[in-house]
Amino acid sequence: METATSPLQSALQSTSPTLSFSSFSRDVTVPLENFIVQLRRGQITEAKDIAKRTAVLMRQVVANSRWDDVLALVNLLKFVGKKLVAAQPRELLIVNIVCRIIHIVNEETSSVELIEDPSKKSATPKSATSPVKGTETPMMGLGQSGAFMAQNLGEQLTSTLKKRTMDMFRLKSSIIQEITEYIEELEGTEDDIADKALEHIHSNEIILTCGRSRTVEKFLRTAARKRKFHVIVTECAPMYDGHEQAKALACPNIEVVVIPDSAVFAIMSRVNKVILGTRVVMANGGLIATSGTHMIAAAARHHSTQVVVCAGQYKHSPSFPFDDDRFNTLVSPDAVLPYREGDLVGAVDVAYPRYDYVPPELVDVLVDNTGGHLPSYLYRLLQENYDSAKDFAWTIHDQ
Amino acid sequence: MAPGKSNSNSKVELEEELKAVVLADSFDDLFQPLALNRPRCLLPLCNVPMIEYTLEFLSSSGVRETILICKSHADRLQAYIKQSKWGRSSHSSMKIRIKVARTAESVGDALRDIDNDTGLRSDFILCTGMVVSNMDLSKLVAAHMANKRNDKDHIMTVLLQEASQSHRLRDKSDESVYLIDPSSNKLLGINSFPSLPKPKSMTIQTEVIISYPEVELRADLVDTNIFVCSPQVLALFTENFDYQTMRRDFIHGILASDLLSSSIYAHVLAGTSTSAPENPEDDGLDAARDADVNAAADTEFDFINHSGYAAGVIDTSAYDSISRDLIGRWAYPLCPDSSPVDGAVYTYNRGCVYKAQSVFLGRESYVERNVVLGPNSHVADFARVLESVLGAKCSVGERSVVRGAYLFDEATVGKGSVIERTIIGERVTILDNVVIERGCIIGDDVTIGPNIRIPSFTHIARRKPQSSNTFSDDDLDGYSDEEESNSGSEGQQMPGSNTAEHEDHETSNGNATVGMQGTYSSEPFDTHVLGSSGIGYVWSKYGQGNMNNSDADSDDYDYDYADNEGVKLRQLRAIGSYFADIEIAENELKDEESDEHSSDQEQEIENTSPMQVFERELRLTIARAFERNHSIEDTAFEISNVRLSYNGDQNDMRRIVAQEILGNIDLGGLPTSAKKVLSRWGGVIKRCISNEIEQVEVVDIVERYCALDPAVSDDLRSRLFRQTIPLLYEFDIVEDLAIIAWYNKAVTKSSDEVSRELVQKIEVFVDWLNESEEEEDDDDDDDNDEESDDE
Repeated sequence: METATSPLQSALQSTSPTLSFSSFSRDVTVPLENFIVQLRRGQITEAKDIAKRTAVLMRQVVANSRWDDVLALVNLLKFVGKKLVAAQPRELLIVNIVCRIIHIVNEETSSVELIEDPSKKSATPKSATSPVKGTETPMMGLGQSGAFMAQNLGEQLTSTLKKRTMDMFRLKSSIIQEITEYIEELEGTEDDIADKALEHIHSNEIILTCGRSRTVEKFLRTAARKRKFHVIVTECAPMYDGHEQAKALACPNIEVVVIPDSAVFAIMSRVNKVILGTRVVMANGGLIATSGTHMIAAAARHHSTQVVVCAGQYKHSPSFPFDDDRFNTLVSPDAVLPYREGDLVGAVDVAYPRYDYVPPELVDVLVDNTGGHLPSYLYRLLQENYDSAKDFAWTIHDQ
Repeated sequence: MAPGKSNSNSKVELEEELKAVVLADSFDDLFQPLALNRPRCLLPLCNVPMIEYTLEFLSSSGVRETILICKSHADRLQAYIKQSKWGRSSHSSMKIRIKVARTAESVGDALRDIDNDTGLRSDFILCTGMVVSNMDLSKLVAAHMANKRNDKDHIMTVLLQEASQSHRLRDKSDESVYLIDPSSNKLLGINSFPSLPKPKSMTIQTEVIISYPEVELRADLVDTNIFVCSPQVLALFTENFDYQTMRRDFIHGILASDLLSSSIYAHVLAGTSTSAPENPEDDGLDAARDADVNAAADTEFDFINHSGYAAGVIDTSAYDSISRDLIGRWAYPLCPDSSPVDGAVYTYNRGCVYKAQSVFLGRESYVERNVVLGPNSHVADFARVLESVLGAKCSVGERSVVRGAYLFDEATVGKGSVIERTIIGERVTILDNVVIERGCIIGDDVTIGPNIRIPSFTHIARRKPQSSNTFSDDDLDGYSDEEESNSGSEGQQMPGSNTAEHEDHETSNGNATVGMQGTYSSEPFDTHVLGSSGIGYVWSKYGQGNMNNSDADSDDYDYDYADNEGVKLRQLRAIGSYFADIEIAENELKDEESDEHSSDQEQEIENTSPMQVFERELRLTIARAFERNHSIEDTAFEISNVRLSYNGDQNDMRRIVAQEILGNIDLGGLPTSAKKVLSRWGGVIKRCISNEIEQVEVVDIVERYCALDPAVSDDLRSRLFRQTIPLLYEFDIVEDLAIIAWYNKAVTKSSDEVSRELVQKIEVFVDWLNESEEEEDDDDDDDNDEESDDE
């Protein structure tokens, strides 16, 4: 009878959203706290790193924490997600990954149920149903099984529990497997995108790009294996990561020119195609990308130059850009105005935003690991990738 | 011999765990009375306890073990650390050991304690518990190690932040010149003087000039209170048991000593601007490198490595500037919206306004820029909050203005109050219509008001000040450091009283701790300063505010704040001080000196007639404003401060201001010079006028000046007057109605011949005014209305 307490506990736990660190084993809390600290200190900034580490952490939560039904698991994931978002509220990627994982969990749950014999379904505790489908709370599920128990209490209970444990075990391993696949997909994102390069870049074209983006770097370098073209890189003052990008791109087939940001409009008339990287693609198809991107996109529109954006699907955010400030990061203005300038530092407020918001009208093609899409098609992809978990993204910023 | 050996040593040390020593006590009283109930390092900086920034900084620099040395309120600090994330087992990246040094009176004592106890045998980081930095210190440690290989006497690296003159981070009471060998960054000397009296010369040891081909003299560096030390530093402190402070005793002592061959290096944080990111392995030709790029994926935008912000909260002035730096995101990623502690989450809004959850802003409230609003804070309609930090559950009442102020948790401000550059403790209640001028520090649980004006640099606490010397957070003995620093000229006067103070302190230390947390004094509150409902006492020792209005308490303190220079220097370290204050204070001190030398008679006059003192002060202030070309606002602000502190009369003030400004008109180049002076400074006169009667008075003052002032030669009197009056009108200082009113009165009443002549001179102008007024009656009225609204 001792085992009977565990579903009850989990039922209680899943109904009460108050979770704490103590709900997790050390296998989860240590990497979690580590990750939180690193996020807060800004020690991990590369988009893919953040995405991958979030996904890995989520896998650890699934594998190493106690959960007896899917609702409890989703609550755990949401709790961890909220912690991560609190550590770095402007990092939308975290939200994307958390949503994706929750979606994977939900999908996996429903597919496991589909495989099962529908006739047996009434015997399985309702608490195992996914939170999307299941309108009944786990408590109700338990009450129903209590009615069963009236006839043959001991036998019924043990068999149900045994079955349930088996189900959960199966579910757990399949979820973990799915997440692992997802992580592999994340790792291969850049290569997948680069495979599409030849469709977009033709010989002797003049390509303009901006800032440091590894996705774009790989994209261009893959094209350079077959074709010869020019690349113009804007330097992105005051961080000058355009310089870095130019260095990384330089190879026999690519002729790289670095220009100051102010020259973008002047040079746009000669450019055949603008290829950009981005931090995040918002739900409406707009971009959150390095400062200076908006200017380039606007100049490209003026000259009717095509703007191609390379971004893996993990960068697609289910949130809409209602508030520019919230999605931007303002970093130390030291690079713009050196801190030692005492007379000015006291008198002037300097803002140095890291990102621009580029409205979807200025984007022509979004290239992700599955192919090129129009920004207006994005809703379809979001539906596929996040469907059941969008509410998490929509509520998280309201708190 | 040595080189090989030290090489291997340093290698071993490198592999050892990095340790840090944090001085959680400051051994001075610059934050009193805020730090009465808790250690200074737990005071909130942008609503996060200061120690958190330090621990965060150390832990992100890879420090594995931190020793916190504290003295007063050690139990509170211990309790805090225990419940914070640093005490959680899962957060095991950095161990924290708390060491209580009960008997320590200074930094030196505390370090000697450590030397005896903990036996640090490897290099360590030393900093105060109030350091804010986003730097990765491993860089500095690496530099330290590298230097050590070249110079076996290298015992310490000092981290310095570059900051130009008049940078808000600078300690205004102190002028330091660092002598640095630019080739090796070796520190060759520090000359630090109190900025009052202004240092005129400095000495450089001839050896320095002889033995180094190049020496940099830098006055643009600020001490960050972060040091990388070799264990020898502790030994040196133990050997030289008279060393009290780090900079003035230790560094200066080491550098000036002939016997000790140790050397100290400086590491200057110069900001990011020049360093472009570099990619060392640049072999772009190889396509196979593609794979490596991901593997080596160092941070995509690693500007943190290139920039550096480091500063120590040493006094309330630094508290103010560091808060502003945090709000202005200079210390990114340390900013209010990504604070190092769990708890309140702040969101960034345009203009650097940070809001926590459940902030209430009135529909008509005005929260402008650089503001942090704590959870559940409340800003009512028509209230203005700018450049301020509000703690949790703070509220600001209707029509109140909070500018440049720091309100700790649960402080409330009533209706129609004005708070300017002030730190306000927890649970302080400020009632309606209170004006708190700059530089005040108000301790926990005080109530002020209603309808009262608190003069600048007043310190108020819930507890009587005399018992303060036993609240040894920031014990008062620590001030002896300061005294020594100022000692150049007046060092000899003090030793007697100082030692007496020490004894006093020690004897009272034991019994006072009993009542420390507990009962407040039952004596009547200083309601004459705090207003009729006031609860609290003025700590007269620290501010100038007391000088006029508090006669009690003053004999409880007989150490050197009694001397005016000490008070001034102290004020320069307080929140709300300006660089211009140095000069003002200097002139004041000069005047005092000359007073001392002059006859007794003059002093008697000074004693009997505060009015004259006031007049002289005011004239000096205005003269200074002219000299330094202050803005109208600043000048007007200073003038009203002078008036308040000398309890001067409004009318006198107006007269003096007008006279002084007219006195600046160059009588030689009349029409243009008058125009120039009045267009630039007329606004100051305008600020002294509040109604129409006073406008008439101003015209009268001008007339008196033109008619009687000895500086104006007789033949110019009428000319000056004739040209000044239209200018007063032109620059909106007085309205046409006032001039007409004055004229009508003067025509009938002017007694002496000169006046009558002057009155006639503006007849034409008044006629013209009369005409134009009739024409544009309505327009004028509208304009006037608007003007009065602005006021």
